[in-house]
Amino acid sequence: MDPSVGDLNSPHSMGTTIIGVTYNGGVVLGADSRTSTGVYVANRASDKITQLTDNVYVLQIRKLSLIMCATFSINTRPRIQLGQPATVKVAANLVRLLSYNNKSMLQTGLIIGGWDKYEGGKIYGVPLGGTILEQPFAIGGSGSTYLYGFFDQEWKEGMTKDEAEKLVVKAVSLAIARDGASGGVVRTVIINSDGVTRNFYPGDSLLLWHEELEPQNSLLDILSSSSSEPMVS
Amino acid sequence: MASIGTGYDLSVTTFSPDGRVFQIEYAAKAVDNSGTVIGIKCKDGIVMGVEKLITSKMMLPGSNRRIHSVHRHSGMAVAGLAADGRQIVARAKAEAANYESTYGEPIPIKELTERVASYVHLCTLYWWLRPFGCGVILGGYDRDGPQLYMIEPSGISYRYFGAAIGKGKQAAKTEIEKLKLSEMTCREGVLEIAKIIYRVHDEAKDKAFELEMSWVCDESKRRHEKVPEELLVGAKAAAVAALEEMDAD
Repeated sequence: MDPSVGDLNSPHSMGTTIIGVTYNGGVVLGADSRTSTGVYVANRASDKITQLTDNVYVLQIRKLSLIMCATFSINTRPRIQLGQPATVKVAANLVRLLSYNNKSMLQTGLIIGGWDKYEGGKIYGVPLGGTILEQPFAIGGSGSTYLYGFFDQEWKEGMTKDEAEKLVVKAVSLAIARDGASGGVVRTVIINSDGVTRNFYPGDSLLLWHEELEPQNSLLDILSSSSSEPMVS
Repeated sequence: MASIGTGYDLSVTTFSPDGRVFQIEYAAKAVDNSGTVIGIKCKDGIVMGVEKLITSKMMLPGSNRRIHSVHRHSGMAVAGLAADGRQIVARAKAEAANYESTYGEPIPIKELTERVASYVHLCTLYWWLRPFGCGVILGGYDRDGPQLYMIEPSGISYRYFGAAIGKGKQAAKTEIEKLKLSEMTCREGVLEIAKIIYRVHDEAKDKAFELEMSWVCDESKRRHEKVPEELLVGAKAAAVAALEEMDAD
């Protein structure tokens, strides 16, 4: 296979951007929607936000095709034993046990976010080795490398729900602009005492950043607009 | 009182014709023979007290503890066979530690009680095990507030405002019912429990006893601890005074 074309047999991996932030009253989780195998975009509208329990969602970065099917065990165990939905901390701990104990087989970084009545909105990061770390916000995936400086500047304690969601959407779209492995649409999930809200921001509704081109229907439109010379505008 | 089993009481795996398991009832008798143990739930925490009967003048005060901490936020007071009680406490500690290492948070008191009660019940199911000869009062303070549970040798556990087991349990229960627990703080509760234990102690039958008390409340920062020394001394003095006042009537 011609290596310049890209390896279409490469593992179904997710270069990705995932973000979770807490705000005053809950959490906002956001992700891009691109699944790439090498340079081919296998799915341009995937949903990387998975539900664990009624009030806890998880974002996954998967580098190998083994997927963590943690949802079932996490939902049933605490609910059956304790007679109430799991708290975010308990759900995050159960997820990290799976990640930690199977670290030889799995390669996955996760962000778990949710809301429960005891602690409010919480974000837990479970990176590659399977540790667990509670954070006010967490970013992950290949696109997140472009966001560390952005969050250092923009993150504030005690944001409102709208401020938090705008921040997440802005951050994901910045990452999409710079990271080839992230793209598509921005999906967000807001979890608070009122419940769970899913939002969808199509790619052309996002702001354009430095040197980004306007979305075009076809490249021929750019070419034919001016001179007859190709590649000259 | 209970009739003699006449053959149906030889094994814990035998039911009597009227549907009782005598071995479990006999185990409960062992609890009734021990010193009184009381627990109450006040508005800001739990207080537990034990009438620790002293069998020998040579015993060091403060030894043979009957109240044990299970976890930072909870403790158990044991009545009945002390060695059996040690087993139950060890199991409770193991359950609490195991829960925290799996779920990452301190074990909810309700969950702890269910696990310990299951363990106690387990030992009533097989012929090669005997039931535990002790009852346990479990008090703790978790994110749902202070909670008090009692676990009997049969494995039954209930949640209580106030509970008493041991010799003076009937008298103690009557006294506890007179208290207004929902308005009482733990400081006041310590005094009340001391008074009750001194009152139900039978001077004629048993000679000396030592009062052991613990609490878990807002004042102890939700940690299960021995009641502070000065408070305990004050409570004992108040209890003795109240007893003399009663005798004087």
